[in-house]
Amino acid sequence: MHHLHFNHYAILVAALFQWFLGALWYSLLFNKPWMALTGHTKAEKPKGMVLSMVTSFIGGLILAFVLAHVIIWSPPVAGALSSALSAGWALWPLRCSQRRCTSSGRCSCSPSTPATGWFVSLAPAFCWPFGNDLRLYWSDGPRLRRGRRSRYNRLTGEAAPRRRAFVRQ
Amino acid sequence: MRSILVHLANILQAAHQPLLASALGQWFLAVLWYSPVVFRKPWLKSLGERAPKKEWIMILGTILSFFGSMAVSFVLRHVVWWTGSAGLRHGAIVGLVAWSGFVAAPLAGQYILEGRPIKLYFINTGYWLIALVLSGAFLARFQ
Repeated sequence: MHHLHFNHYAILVAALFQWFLGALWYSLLFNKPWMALTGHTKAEKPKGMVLSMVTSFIGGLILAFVLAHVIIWSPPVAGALSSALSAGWALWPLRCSQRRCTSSGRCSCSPSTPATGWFVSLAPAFCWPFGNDLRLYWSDGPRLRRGRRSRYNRLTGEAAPRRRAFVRQ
Repeated sequence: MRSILVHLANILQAAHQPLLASALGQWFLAVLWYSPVVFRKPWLKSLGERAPKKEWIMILGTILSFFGSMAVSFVLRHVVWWTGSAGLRHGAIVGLVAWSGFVAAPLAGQYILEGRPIKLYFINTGYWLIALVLSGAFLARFQ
């Protein structure tokens, strides 16, 4: 992913949106508490208004640009969600199976029947491989480190890369 | 709820020591940065009327800033993971990018709007520049 491949209009729209949100936030929504907290009064003439607006727009552009990078770097939400759901069945025995209430009105919930108890004790064993799977997924492929085998290499059995390279696929 | 639990279990599998070390490093850097030896005087001067009056407020802020450092290290570590970066140099670049986008850029307009002195901006964001670059490098090197 190169910088030139970003959707520039999206970045511009995000920056404009941030700018308008800032204008709305500090004028219509929270002008009074903001003035009270920062010690400004209505009588005094606002200083640096234009400069701050220009700066905040440029700042918004930079923020949107960096945020676009972080979004590209982060794992896709759909994949992460589907992995999470497929691993979630292992937590099924933790559901509430028996709800007991005492005469004083206190209720307690415990997964304490023998069958679920058996499942509960094994739940970490079910979760562990899925956790590793997710961790690998999140780690965005092999660690590009010389010399030492990374977690990814250890778990997958792949050899560690010899040369360090910072190339985005 | 389930996905949150799985996510938590996932996070708990990662080594915690680098996270704690990075947060502690940021905290010590803050203590050093705002100490009388370095930037205490110009910082208080540029704060002007808004300088904290009581000593215990500053102590409380120093204690609370550790939790903030933990959160910052936690998020930065995710970004380092997502970039797949390993090694001091790439981690430092990630920290620099995060600083420029999430600290320097948004605070510039806000400081001008609030009429804060430019010196205060440089002291505060300078701290975050060093903190983010160093902890980004550290988190990428020791994963």
